[in-house]
Amino acid sequence: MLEEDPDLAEALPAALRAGAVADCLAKTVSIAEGNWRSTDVRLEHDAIGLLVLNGLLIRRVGIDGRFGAELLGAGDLLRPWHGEDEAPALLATTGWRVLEPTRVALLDRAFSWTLSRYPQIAGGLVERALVRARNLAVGMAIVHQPRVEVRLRMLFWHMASRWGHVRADGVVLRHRLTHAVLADMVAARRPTVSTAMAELARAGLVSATDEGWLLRGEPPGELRDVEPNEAGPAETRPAS
Amino acid sequence: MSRNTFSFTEHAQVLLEDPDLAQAVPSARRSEAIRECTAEVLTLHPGEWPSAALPAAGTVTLVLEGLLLRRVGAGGCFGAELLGSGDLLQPWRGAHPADALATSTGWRVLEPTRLALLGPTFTRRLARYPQLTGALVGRALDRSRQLAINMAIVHQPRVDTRLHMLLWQLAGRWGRVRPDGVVVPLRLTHSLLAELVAARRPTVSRALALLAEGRRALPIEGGWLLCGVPPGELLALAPVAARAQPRGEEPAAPAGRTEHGDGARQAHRRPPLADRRPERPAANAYASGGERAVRSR
Repeated sequence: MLEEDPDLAEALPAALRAGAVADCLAKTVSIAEGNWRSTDVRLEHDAIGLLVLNGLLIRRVGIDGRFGAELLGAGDLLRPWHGEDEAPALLATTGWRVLEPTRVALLDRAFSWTLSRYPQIAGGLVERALVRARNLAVGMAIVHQPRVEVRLRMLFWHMASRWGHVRADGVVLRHRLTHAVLADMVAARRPTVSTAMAELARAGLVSATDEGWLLRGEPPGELRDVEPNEAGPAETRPAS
Repeated sequence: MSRNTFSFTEHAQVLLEDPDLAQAVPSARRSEAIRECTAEVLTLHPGEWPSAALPAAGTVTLVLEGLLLRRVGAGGCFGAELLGSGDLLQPWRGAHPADALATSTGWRVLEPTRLALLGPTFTRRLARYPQLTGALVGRALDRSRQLAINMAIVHQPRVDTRLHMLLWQLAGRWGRVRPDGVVVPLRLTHSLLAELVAARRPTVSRALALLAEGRRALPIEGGWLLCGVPPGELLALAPVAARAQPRGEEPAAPAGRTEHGDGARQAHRRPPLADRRPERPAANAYASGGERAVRSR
């Protein structure tokens, strides 16, 4: 597991690293593209979870027909069974879709016993789990932007920090995300996203290429100051 | 708001203060784990909290009690996350230097708060009880679960619907049932609610007035009183898309299924009201004789 996710081994003293790499073995499961029933992967209730080794998947949460989405990739931890026995006040639905062939390591009960020899890795996994919340919190800040094209541009640059590849003419995101997926991620409707994407393409800021999405220009941290009056689609929010 | 003063006041037996966490340890070893798993405690007073100034970089902390707000800003707009006992935080970890998108993070302590610092010493003790690693990972993922629900809430076109849903979401964690409804004992300003539902403060004020008029959420001393049923219940009661489509929006997916078809599943499906609480009037799924927590962590 540490060979495939070397960042986790970084927390270990160098003298322990080779031994940990040999000890920390985990079973893996490959998941094909498409809808995924996460309950197909059986783990003990007290297991640590699933660690994504490579691939891309999306978790959608819906309430009353509206969905939020979270994109997950290598290094992310999942615990799909977690919380299912609780009865939350709000009725929500959850679904998973694998967007690119994905491999996950099963961090089961036996694996957690192995980690008792390497507490730094256990701590690293807890920190990994917190990364998901941090990314979602940035997503929440993004959806506060009133203009959908601004949200999309911010989302793309946020994803570029993790998955972007720099080349001479900009940063490429190789993941192919449909407008419907993007709509869930920026809390907008699909047609609004399509309009906004066309606007971004016309402005040369985000373009679809054979390789993926090409981002040009600077990240939009200060976009509001720079382009306060730029026209473009805005999401309809009746009560706002 | 004043800057926070903080102090390291004590050591706490973490599993004694967070008994749900202790449940992960087999009963034969629980007492020993409670005794061993101690951590230094940081006490915070209400106010802005300059967490980056503290000399504990990288430490994961567990909220033992209190209430905090984490704000993340991008391009001048802020999202917010409410955190309380049982939540794990890494307050000293801000934006990553490699992040392309400039974001800012701020913390505000809303109620007196105690944080257990789960540093390297704690992690070494923790390793003797491997079940706790999974439990702590679960706790950390709880935050992303709540935020994902929040993301679905802000997707609702109407701000009053978002607020109604948000208050019920908060009720799921902090709510207390009493005969006339569910009390959410949180003092949340309209500005704070605006950040939680991605709306502007004046819009939130108007939407809250609408909720009060409809007797769906009433401001009370020290919090909010929710009457009636949670808004998502509409789906359970009318699973076929026979209900009215609000404001010409696209049709909603039927209850229990997402647009992803067969791969989708219903995670938090609740039984119909009548099955769940047959002794209660359907008007309020949570009404009962005495006050009690809706759900403890």
